[in-house]
Amino acid sequence: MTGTRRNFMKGAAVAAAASASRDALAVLPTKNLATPPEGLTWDKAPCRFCGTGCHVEVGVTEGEVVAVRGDQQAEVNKGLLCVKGYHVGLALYGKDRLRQPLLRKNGKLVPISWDEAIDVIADRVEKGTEGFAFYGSGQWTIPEGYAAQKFIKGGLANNQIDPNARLCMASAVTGFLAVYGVDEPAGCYDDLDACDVLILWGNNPAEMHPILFSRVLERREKGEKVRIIDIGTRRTRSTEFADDYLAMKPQGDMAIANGIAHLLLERGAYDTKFVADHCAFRADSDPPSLHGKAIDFEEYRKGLAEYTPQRVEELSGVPAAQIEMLADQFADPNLRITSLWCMGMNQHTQGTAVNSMVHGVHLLSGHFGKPGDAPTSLTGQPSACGTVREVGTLAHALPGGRVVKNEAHRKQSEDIWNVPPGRVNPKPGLHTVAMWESFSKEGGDIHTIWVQVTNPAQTLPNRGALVDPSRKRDDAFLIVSDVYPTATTEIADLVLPSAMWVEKNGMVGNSERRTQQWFKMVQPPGEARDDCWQTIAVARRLYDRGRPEMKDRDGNFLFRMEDEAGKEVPVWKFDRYYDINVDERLFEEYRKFTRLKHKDLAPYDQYVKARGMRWPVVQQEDGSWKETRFRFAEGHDPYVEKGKGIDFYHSTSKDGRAQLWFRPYVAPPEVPDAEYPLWLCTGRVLEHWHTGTMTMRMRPCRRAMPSAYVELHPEDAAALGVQDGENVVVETRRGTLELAAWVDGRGAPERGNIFIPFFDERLIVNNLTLEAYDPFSKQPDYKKCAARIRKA
Amino acid sequence: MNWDDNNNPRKLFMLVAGLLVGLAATAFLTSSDHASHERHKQPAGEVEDSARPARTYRELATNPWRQPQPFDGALANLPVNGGRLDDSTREAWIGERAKRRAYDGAPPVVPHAITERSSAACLTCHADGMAFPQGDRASTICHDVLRSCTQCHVPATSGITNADVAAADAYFGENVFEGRMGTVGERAAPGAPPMIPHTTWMRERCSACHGEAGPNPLRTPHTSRTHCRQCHGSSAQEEQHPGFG
Repeated sequence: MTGTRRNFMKGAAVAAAASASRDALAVLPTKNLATPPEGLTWDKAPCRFCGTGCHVEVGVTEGEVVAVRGDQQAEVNKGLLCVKGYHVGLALYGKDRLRQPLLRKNGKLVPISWDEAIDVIADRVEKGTEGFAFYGSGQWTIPEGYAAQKFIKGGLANNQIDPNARLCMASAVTGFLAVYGVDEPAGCYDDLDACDVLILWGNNPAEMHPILFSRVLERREKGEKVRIIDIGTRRTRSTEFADDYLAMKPQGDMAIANGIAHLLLERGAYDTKFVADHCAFRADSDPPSLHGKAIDFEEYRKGLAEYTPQRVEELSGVPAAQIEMLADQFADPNLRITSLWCMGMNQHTQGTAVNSMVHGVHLLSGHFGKPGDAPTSLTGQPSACGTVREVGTLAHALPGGRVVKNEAHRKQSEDIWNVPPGRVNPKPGLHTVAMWESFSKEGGDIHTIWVQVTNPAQTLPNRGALVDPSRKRDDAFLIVSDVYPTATTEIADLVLPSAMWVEKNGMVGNSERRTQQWFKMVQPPGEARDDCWQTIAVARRLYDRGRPEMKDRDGNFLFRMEDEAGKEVPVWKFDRYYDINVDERLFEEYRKFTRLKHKDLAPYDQYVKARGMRWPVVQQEDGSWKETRFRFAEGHDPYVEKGKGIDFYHSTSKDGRAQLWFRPYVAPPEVPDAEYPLWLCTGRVLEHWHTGTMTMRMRPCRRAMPSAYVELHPEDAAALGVQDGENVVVETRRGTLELAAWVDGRGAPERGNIFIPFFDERLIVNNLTLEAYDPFSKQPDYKKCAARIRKA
Repeated sequence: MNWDDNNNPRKLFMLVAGLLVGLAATAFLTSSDHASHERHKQPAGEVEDSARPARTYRELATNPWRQPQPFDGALANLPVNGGRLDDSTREAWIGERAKRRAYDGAPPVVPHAITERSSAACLTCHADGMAFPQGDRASTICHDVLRSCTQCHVPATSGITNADVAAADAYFGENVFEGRMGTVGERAAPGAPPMIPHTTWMRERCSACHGEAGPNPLRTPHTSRTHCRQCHGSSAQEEQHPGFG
């Protein structure tokens, strides 16, 4: 009898019968009411959900996950999880898991075989290779993303691959590139253990990165003093733990950053040495480009002159005294200051700008490069860093920080991939919004999109413009690889059942440059198969049909893999897929790309042993592999020479300096007016991951947060005559949504603001949002558009 | 002790008091042997309704003090297994406990409404298992204090309206996950202290469940002993091994 709930219920009946005959004088019965599950094994894996990258241990017995525990050995979370992590095992077991490939015939999805499905996809590729696109994901494992990347960039060579991370992290990326010349945070989570001041720039880590927030709270529990400053447009659970709450008007973050810089200059309270040694100055060029134009200190100072505390108060709504307070913090060289941000600054029509401005405040004040002094961009998805940003699954990128426009980068990629010289296309493909616009337009260039591990019908902004029209187009074919029925499978032409999380091998990379690995632990249900296998199988079908795109330089299959004896293994047959470790093969090939930008990855087996390692991981003289906690800082970063202190060795000004950008405040494209007087903001909640396709099937999460709602300020509600719990209709210029109002609930927006979470597929808020995007990152702004409310 | 001539009355008083205490002590000490004999002879369940008249010291010699009723009778009435539950009651209780947890080790859901934004109030009742007039006790936090309670402990049902939960359940369907159950600690031999059948990670405060504040089915018969780990060993299977993997 094993210790699961089903067996417990059976056992209880037996035990009840037995106890009646027990001798009262006997010793306490040793019969166990529930024996430990037989063969219960525990194996490590990163959690399936957010970008924190907590480690769990998964308890498996009889081929099923029966428990999860926080991994005490993991540095990220030290044994603690959040409600999603504790219940991540349940994500595999929703009853309506997709089990069979489905093809839409006469409006209905009917089961077909994998063989037929692969043929269908190959047919679509052959229809016109230029128009076949991949829409991928920051939840792609590294090998999955790498396989799709190689298929598109090294195979079809149309560069039509873009990820959902375009919608979440793209502005963080362009911000890093514009300032440091290379992507990803210099610091790591260790900064949270050392900071004196933690500034939240429009994010809610108590719900969205709860483990990281708890890491700070635990320091307070032990008596340490950490000042938490919450800058936001609404009060959240994070605000409850904050010392200061700065109520900000949407877009005010730009003004606040400039306001701090202005005061530091005015008072002469900036770090003169740091700026003199390590910084150069930039401003927007005409026409605008990612790296702008070089300016000097005086122009920088002049640009900031207008951002007095009073002016900043006008623009941001934050009182001048609080701007002064922020400047006081940054002016103090003895404080360690960590800034945290996520979607508030990234999903922003000026996302690149505001990212560069907050980096700038840290650089200007010298709060950089020491543990606790860190501008820390947090990632939302578990592998937006590891897969999208590092493997480069973006329309303009190649692996390892390279770009298609760069001839040397193309040649290096062609060499590693062993494809014919000139194969890689120098012309970037379409970014996400443009890809879906093209797909939705009659005669658009994109005729087929293969979606893997994401749900664009629920997450793309302005769904009515970017998604729905494609379904009316004569010849637009939508392929979706997923694990559950979603809003996207609902409208797809071909649905492919996929293996998820511990049903396959995997690797991901979290917010602090930590690459993590896990092994397959249980079988996927029905005919569900690994996404990576699906990509390789389609590649093989095309190769078998004689397509040259799937041949390498020697005429071999692009994804040729050999066993130890040198014999090719037919990994495109799923029953042979686990004969070798495909993940390892792909990862070892991908590793070669990572040296250029000093994002060195260690061999696969190092990640098997570790609870992740932060790159650059560099081999030591004794053969061991050492990770890097802090980049660009001497003593921590192996690529910083002795005596340099700080070295931005990918500097865009080629002089080891980071860029201090002057950027003006720019208003959002759509602001409230008489017709639509409210600001609409969207976002997440603790219990639900993204579109809820997994978490809504996990009962504890679903029951704690069963449906979406609109948060209203009590005075706004009163003015509308709306009571808590009453249904209201929310309208924007793009769509309408009827849902319940929640007044003074979990979040409390400021007057004139409303908030709707996006997890509920029955109440898709992205019918209302605006697709306007940042000019450099192409990332849309989900946090600001104009709306109105009326009683239902 | 420095005796003053002026304190003669006090001196006398102290002497007499000392004598009396000494007498009482002697009487007590001699009586206790008799008392234990007497206890064994007491018929079970005897309870005296009226207050007993005080005895003189002379009477105490032949009719010594005893343990007060009804303790005597109650002792004989105690079941030999120390008042612990039988298997079916225990299983029923474990079933109740399991309803609040997806698997043994999962953070229990909160079976009552909460304030959604702030966790500040949780420990008011759950720090020390606050007792309520109707006889219930709030559960006691069994792990070291972590301030963001709702990060892990979410309401069992929530929503703007109750219809929300039912509608969501119907729309998203069932989940066939079967969580592992908790186990009972094994003993090496009859009478040996049972092994801890669960991890002590996030369950460092044994008394939260097994002490006075703990629910009856889990309460140890020896709540006065608070150094639990002296006798109760950890399970190699349940604790995460250092150096794993």
